[in-house]
Amino acid sequence: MPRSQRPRSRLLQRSRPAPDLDRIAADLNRIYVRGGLQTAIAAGTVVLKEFFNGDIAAFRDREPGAWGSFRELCERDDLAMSRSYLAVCMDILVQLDDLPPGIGQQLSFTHHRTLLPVRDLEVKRRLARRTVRETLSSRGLRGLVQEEIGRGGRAGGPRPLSPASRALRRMESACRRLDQETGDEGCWDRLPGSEQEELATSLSEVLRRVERVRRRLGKES
Amino acid sequence: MTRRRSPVRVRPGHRHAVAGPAPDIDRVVLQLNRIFVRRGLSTALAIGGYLLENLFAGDMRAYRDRDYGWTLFAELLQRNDLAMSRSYLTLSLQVLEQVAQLPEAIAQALCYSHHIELLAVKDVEAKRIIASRSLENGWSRPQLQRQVWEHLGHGRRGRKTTASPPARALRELDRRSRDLERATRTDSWDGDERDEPDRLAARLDRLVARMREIEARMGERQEG
Repeated sequence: MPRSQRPRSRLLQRSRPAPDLDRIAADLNRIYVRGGLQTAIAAGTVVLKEFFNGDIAAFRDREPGAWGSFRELCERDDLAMSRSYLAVCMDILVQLDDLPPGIGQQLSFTHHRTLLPVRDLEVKRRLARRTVRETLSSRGLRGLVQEEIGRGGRAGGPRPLSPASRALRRMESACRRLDQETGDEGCWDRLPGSEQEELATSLSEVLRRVERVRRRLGKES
Repeated sequence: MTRRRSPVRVRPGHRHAVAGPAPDIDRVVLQLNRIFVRRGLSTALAIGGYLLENLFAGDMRAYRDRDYGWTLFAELLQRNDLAMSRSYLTLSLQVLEQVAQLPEAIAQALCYSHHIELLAVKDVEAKRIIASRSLENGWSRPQLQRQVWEHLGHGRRGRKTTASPPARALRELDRRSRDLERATRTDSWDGDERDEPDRLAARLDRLVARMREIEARMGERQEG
């Protein structure tokens, strides 16, 4: 019998109740959402404990000595995470402290990062509650944050990137990779001629598309 | 880096103003690196473990042989309310299996993205060798990707059985350029963003110049 037609009741043969997919989807979402946030909290907590004596107020007030050592840490070449990631972790830790208990923990790392530019605490709390209540995606939340910023709700922090700017940043990163891979360190020379030809054609197509976008932007600017 | 206030000047003799001993930065770096490397892997292992336990009764063979539980898994993959992609769910089960195949010290020291690259190697012994070399030499993801690609044999059409690193980079560039095309069609520039098209155009000019350089280099090397 083909695998796709095997009866689901085989699960029951193992004397286990058939799993409830709604519950499974909800559990998986919870594990997934918590993953990034837990890392940010863990990293932020290490920095807070080691440099600010576990005192979040010392971080907020930028205690001079501690910030000096923190910068020293960020400049280390052997640190696996970027300086900006570490700074975001610290900001998220502060944000968690600002949000009502239970609400902050339900947001993902991306939701938290999206919410960071909102400096008005009331607005921040309102948006966080709404995100949890309406289970907004981070894209949905980004729209709301941008609306708030448009209304003057922003008092600092990084400006959220527009979709075009985000796509361009990813293109720049992919282009760097392609540059490496076709350079001396890469494996371009070991590719068969037919594949090299195919890739060169694809690159020309991408270039034509990018130039089309460039012309359109030229008209708008 | 989040822009907060202007940088604080550190006064001499005021190195660590907060009460408590000055931190040992080497130890902190070690601790943070361990957290960072584990970040993706621990979530993937938690997801994979959950799926294995709840859909396949904890039996990896049932997943591998597409036995009982697979129909439900396929049903789960069709759900629109999942926060993660379908491929992430499948990969998390594959990574879980790979972790069991590798010595614990190696499996836990590799980060999620390295595990993903290593999945292409089916031979467990080769997998172990490449994984331990990756750790010994501190290979980055692209370096590991190259090594895996080198290791894999050629397919029937004379091609490697997995996409080459340049092909993968180009595929990403292609996908993102489509995103950019879509976004510039729908984005409306108003208020604070009125100068956005100018900024994007300047960045695009630089990108096009770089892509032209790559194109020229590709041509030269093809002829060579």
